[in-house]
Amino acid sequence: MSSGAGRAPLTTRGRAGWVLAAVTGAVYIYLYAPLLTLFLASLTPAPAADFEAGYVGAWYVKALSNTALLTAIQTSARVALATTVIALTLGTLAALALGKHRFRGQTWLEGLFYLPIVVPEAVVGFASVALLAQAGLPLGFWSTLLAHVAFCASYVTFIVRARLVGFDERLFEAALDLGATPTAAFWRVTLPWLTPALVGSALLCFALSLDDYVITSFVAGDGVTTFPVWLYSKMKTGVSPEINVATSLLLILSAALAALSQIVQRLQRLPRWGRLSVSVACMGLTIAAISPSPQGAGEPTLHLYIWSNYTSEKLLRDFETRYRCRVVVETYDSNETLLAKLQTGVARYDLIAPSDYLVGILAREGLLRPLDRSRLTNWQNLDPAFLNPPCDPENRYVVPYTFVVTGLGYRRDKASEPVESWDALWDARYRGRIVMLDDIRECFGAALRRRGASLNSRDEREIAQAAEDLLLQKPLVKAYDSARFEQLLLNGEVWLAQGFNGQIAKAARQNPNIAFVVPKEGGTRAVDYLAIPANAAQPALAERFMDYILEPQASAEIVQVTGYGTPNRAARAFLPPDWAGNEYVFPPESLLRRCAAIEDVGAILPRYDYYWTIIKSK
Amino acid sequence: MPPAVETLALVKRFGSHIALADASFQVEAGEFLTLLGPSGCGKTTLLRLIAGLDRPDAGRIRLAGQDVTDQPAYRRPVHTVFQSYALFPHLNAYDNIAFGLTRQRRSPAVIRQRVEAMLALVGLEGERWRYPHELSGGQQQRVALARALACEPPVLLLDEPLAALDPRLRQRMQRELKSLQHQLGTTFIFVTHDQTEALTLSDRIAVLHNGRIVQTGPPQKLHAEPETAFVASFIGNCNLLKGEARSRQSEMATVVIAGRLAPALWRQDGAAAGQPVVIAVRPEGVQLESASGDNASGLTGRIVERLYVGADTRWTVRLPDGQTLVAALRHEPSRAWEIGALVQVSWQPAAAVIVTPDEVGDETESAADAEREELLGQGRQLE
Repeated sequence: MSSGAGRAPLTTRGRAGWVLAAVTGAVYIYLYAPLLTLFLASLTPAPAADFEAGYVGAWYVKALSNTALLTAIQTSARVALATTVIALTLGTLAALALGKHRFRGQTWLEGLFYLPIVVPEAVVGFASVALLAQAGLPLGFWSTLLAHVAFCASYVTFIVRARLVGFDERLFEAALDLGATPTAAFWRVTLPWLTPALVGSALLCFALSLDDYVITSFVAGDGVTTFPVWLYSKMKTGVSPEINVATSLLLILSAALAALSQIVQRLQRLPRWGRLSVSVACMGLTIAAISPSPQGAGEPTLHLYIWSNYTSEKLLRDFETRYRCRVVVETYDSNETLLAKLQTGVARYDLIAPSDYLVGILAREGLLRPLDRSRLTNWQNLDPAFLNPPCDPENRYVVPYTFVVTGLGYRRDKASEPVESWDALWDARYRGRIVMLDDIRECFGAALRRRGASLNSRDEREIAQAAEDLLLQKPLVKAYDSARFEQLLLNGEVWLAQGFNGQIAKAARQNPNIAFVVPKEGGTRAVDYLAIPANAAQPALAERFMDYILEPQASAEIVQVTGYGTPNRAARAFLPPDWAGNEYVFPPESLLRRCAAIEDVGAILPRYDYYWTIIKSK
Repeated sequence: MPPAVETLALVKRFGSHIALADASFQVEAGEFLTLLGPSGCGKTTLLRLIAGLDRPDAGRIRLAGQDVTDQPAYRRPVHTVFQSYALFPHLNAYDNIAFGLTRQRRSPAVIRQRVEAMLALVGLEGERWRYPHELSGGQQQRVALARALACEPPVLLLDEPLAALDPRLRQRMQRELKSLQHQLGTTFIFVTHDQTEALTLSDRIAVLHNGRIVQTGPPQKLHAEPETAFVASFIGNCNLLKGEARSRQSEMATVVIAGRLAPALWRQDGAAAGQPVVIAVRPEGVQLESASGDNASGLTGRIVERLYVGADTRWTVRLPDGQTLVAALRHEPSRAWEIGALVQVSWQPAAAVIVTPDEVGDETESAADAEREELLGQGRQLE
C-alpha cells in the first residue's frame, strides 16, 4: 500500500514531465522552423541556367562575391561592434551610478533611462534626424553609431542594474579588508560579479544594432548601408536566394557569439594574462571597427542614393577610374524613404533615382536642381517618347533611367491556355495559384482595366465596381506580395502573377516555361529617373555620371543588371541578341501604347484607400 | 609593548541612533577578546570601525601603538572573517585564499607556499579547486578563516563566524579556532551574541549593551562577579532580586528582601545604606530547605513550579512580596516538595552580588528572553 502511494505521484510527475517536454519541444520547433527553412533554402542548388552546374553552396559562392552585400554586412558589423563597446561602457557606468547613490527623484530618473526602450523606433529615428540637423552633424557612420549607442545603452543599464541589485556589498568590503584599493576591488570583485550581465547585454547590443532597420534608415547616410537597410532596399528588385545565404551567415554568427559568451564567462577564472589579452583584443577590434575604412584621399566623391541592384558595380568602378573620383552608393527601399530623407535637409546626396510620381513632388518642393543640359552630351541617345514627361514637362530636372511595365507573368506549363487578359486573374481554375502586387493602385488598375475603365478612374461607380471585383477575386489569391512574385513563379507555388517585367524577364531566363504578357486591356507603365538634389555637393560630377549612363554601352549594362528596359535608343545595338530581342524587357510599341502611367487621382484617392482597407482586412 | 588594539572613546551614530557611545578598550597582543552582547548592542559596529569599513564620528583607534583612525580599510594590518563569509563567488578556494597575498604583490612562489600552508592548516587540501557554492557551510567557514589568516595579520577580526553553523559543527569549530589562535599567536577579536561560546573561547570578554561597554574581564570573573544586572542575566542564568541595603562592612553587606535579612557581596563604591539595590544570585547558589517554625526568621517562600532538568530540579519560589526566584538543586528525597509548600531560601554570602541596575529594566528581567531575541535577531546583518 505504501509502495503504491509512493509510486502514484511519480507516475503523475512522469506524465506531466512528458507533456511538458512535448510542449517545450513544440515551442522550440515553432521558434526555429523559419530559421531552419531559411538555412535549408540557402543550401538549395542554384538553377542550372545561372550556373554551369547546380551544386549545394552555389548561392554561398554567389553571395560572397556580391560586393554590395559584403559591404553591407561589413558596415553592420562595424556599427554593431562599436555600438556594443560604447553602449556597454556608458550603460554600465550609468547602472553603477544609479546603484551606488540614493537621491530624490531617482525613480523618475531611472524611468527616463528606460524610456527609449518603449518609445516607438520611428519616433526615435525621426527625433534623431531632427537633432542631428539642429547640431549640423552630417548623416553617416558617426550619426548611425550615435543613434545605435543611444538605444542600446538603455538596455545595458537595465540589465546591469538588475544584476547589481543582487550584489552583496560585503564582497566589496571583504576585498577592501584584504588590502584591495576601491579600484582594485571594483575590477577584481564587482566586475566579475557583473560579467554575466555584461556579456549578456553586449550580445544583446550587438544583435539589436545588427537588426535595427527603422532608426538606421533615418540616420544612416554617406554610403553607410547596413545589412537590414540593404535587405529592405532589395524589395524593389526582388529577393534573391543570396539573402537566404546572408541571413544564414548572420544566424551562424549569432550562434558563434552565444558560444563565445560562454567562453568569455569562463575567462574570468584564467590568470591575469588571459584577461589582459582578451581586453587588448576587444580594444583592437573596437578601434578597427570605428576607424574609417581606407579610401582615396582628396578625390571628389559622388554620393549616389538609389534602389539596390539598380546600378552596376562594374559601371561604378569604370566611372571611378575614368573620372578619378569615388562613388559611394547608398540604397533605399521606397520612394517614401527617399522623400523623407531629402525633406530632412541633413542628407546630402548628389544623385537620386525617384520614380515618376515622386519627381513632381520633389520639383514642387524645390528639392531638385535644374540640369545643365549642355553637359549632357549623350542626350540625343534618348528615345523622344520618354522626353518631356508630365512630371517634368520641360525636362528641367530629370533624365529617364529605366522603364517598368506591369503585366502578367504566368507558367506556360501550368496554365490551361495562353493568358492574354486580366480576366485570367479572376479564373476559378487558378484558385490559390495567383499572386497580386501588394499595391493599391496596381490592384485597382488591373480590376479597372479589365472592365475597360481608365487606370486612373475618378468615377465612383467604376471604383466601387473594381472594389467589388477585387473582393470576389480574393478567395483565389494566394498572396499580395510585391517582392517575391517571380520567386513564387519560379518554384511553381503560383501559376499567375501580377508583376513587373524586369523580374519576370530575369525569371524567364532561368525557366523558359515562364512567360510575360501585357494584357490586351493594357497594363501600367512607370519610369524611374535620375535627378540631382538641390543641396548636392557635387552637381557637376553628378551630371557627368548622368552623361556616362547615357552612353549606349552603359545603358546596355544597366538593362542586363536590372532586367528593365532603357529609354536609351542607342543602347539596343550594344545588347546581346537575347536581350535586345527580349519582348518582355522591350515590349513592342503596339503593346506599350496600351499601357498608361499611374497618375495622381486627387480627391477621390480616399475612396480607393477605403475600399483597399476593406479588401485587405476581409 | 603597546596593546595590539586600543580604542579611545569611539562614537558612531547612524542618523539619530547612537550605535556606539564612548567605547574604550584595549587588547593585548596574542589575546583572545570577545565582544559579547545582544543584537543591536554595537559590537559589529565596533568591529567595523577597527577594520576601517566605517569611520567613527569621534574617538581614536590605535593598532600596535599606531593611530590608524584616518587610514582606509585596505591600509590596515587587520583582516576580517565575515559573518556570511563573503567568499568571492567567482574564485575557487585556492584563489580566495590567495586574494590578500596577490593584493600585496607577493611573489608567486611565496603565494603558492602560503596558500598551501593555509589549506593544510584548515584541512582543505582536497577542496582547493572548488568554488564557494560547491563547499559545505563548515568548509566555507574554513576558507574564510584561511583567507583572512593568509597574510598573517597581527590582528584577526571575527564577526560571528560560527553563527551559521549547526550546533555540533559549531562546537568543533570553536575548539579548532581556539587551538589555531593558540598555535599562531594572533590577536583575535571575536564578536558573538552567544554567551556559552564567549565563555568557552575567550581570554577576556567585553560585554556591550546599548552601545556601551558595560564590563570587561575574564570569563570566570564576569560569571562570578557581574557588575550590572544586564551582565548578570546575560552571562548564564541569574536571579535578580530587588531589595534595600541595610548595612555594609567593607565588601560584605546585609540587604533586606521581602522584609527579611540576607547577605550579599558589595564591590562597588559610593553606595550607602538605606538605598534600594538589585541582588544577583545564580540558581546554583540558592539553597532551599523545608520551612519550620524555628528558622522562620530567614527568607521564606512558596514553591510555584517544579522543572526536572537532567540531574537537577529547578524550583521556582514565590517570595512574600511577590518576587520569584529559581533554585537549581540536585535530586534528593528530602527535597521533594509539593507545589505550594513553604520553603526556606538562603545562600552563601559570596553567592549573591549587589549589581548596578540598568536603565532599561525590561531587558534584564530574563536572560532567557534575551537569548530568544538573540536567536531571532541572528538573521539581521547590521547592528
